[in-house]
Amino acid sequence: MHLLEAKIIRSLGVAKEAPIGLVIAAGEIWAIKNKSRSIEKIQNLGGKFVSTMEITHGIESPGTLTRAGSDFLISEKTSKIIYKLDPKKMVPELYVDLMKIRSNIITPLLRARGTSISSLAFNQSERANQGKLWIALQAGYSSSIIVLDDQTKRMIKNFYTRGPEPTGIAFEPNGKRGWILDGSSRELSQFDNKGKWTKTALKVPIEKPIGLAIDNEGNFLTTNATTKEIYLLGRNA
Amino acid sequence: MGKYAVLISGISVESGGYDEFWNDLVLMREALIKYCNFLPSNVYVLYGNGQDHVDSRQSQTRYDTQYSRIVTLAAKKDNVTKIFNDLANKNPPLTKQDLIFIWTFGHGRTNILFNAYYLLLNDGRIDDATFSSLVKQLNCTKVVCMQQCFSGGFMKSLKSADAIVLTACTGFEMAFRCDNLDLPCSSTIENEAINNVQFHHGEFNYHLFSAITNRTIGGTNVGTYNSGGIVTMAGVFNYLKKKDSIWWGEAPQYQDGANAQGNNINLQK
Repeated sequence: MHLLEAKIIRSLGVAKEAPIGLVIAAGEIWAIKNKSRSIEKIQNLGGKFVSTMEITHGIESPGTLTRAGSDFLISEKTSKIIYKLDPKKMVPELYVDLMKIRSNIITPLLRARGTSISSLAFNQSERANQGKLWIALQAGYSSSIIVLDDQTKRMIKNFYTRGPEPTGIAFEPNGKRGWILDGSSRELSQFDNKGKWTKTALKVPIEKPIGLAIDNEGNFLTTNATTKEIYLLGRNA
Repeated sequence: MGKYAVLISGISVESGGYDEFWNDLVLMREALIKYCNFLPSNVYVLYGNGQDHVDSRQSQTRYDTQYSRIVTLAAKKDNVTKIFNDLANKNPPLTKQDLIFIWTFGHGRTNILFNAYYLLLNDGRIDDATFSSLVKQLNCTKVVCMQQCFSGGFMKSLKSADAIVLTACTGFEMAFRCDNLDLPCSSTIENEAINNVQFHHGEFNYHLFSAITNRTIGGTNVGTYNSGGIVTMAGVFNYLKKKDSIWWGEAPQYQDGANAQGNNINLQK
């Protein structure tokens, strides 16, 4: 594994509540917050939350989020359910209930206590309607990534993460490579869109990183869960 | 009395990403040789692909073995079978006065019915029934400690009058990394930072090491030894069950046969 250190480019400011998840789509940065039950747009410079959408019903305890086209996909923290949310309607619809997946490897993890959905990343293929949802499951030494086909909701792949707290997952803009952030090891590990590790990894100089998004330049966005400060990180040490 | 050990860490750091797959292997070997008088030649170390883990960041730490290699064999199915078969066929044979310490780590799995349990190895996996049959053929006292996820599932098949088994969790649970917390809820240092590099440990392993050696990894006395300088395996379990702070995810398990011989067995003498 080739290990370099990511470098802080700048702080985007301190949030009142640390976002659990971050996503960048169409040049916009969105964050999800659990206690305030809201999805908020972050102004790139200055870190201000400029647009707030409250999740008023349907999702009891919002977890993490990603963007699939114009919709948000949002996990529910206390269950293993993922909802689809059209920002124009703000009425959550069931996207998938992971407890209904039957797999020798994944089902025991989903049933065990201490397992949670810790991050989501939707990767849209160049072909229309060929998207895949990449789900990070935090489950101790069994922490894993599950890949679901967007159309069929069937699991097409799963693999172990390289750390026990996969607090962020995101794809590079071209969708060919993704990164998983581990909050315990404080490392970013790169994988290809087939789920193979590329042997490139970066140390993250942040105490307790949570949430991951990647901008058009390939820089990383994450939050220090302790200080609630949001950072932009560069990959060139 | 002869003392033997088989330490198995099935997945290498390079392939799995967890540095404790190596760190805890080194620590368990150290605990046995330095604090429990096991002969180094009687401690068989099976790790990943058979090569000691070398990383410049661990240079000059206790985890650096580049000048005194410790790995005996790759953690492959054939090698696991061979080590246990060789011990079973030893000449002179093992007797009830001999003791073998077996320790496992890496990834663990179960199936959808929770009726088969697996330890993942470098070239596949070994199920609880196969593993237990290898262990049970040894005609001596067995102490088995398992840190991997779902390790409690091995309890049933390992059960025998001369086996003491400690696991990090039940057969329905995952196992976890140290959380740097001391119960009831104060922060402590379990995952060491040396020269700005983190060295992680399994929560179960960390307290297992402390209980067996009577000191934490950092060297602080933990008071597990009695006035005779020993701790029984029942005492080891009582200590680590009390100290395991991942109460929300893992419940360490223990069994010591019908005669409760864990009250009499220690690794020190």
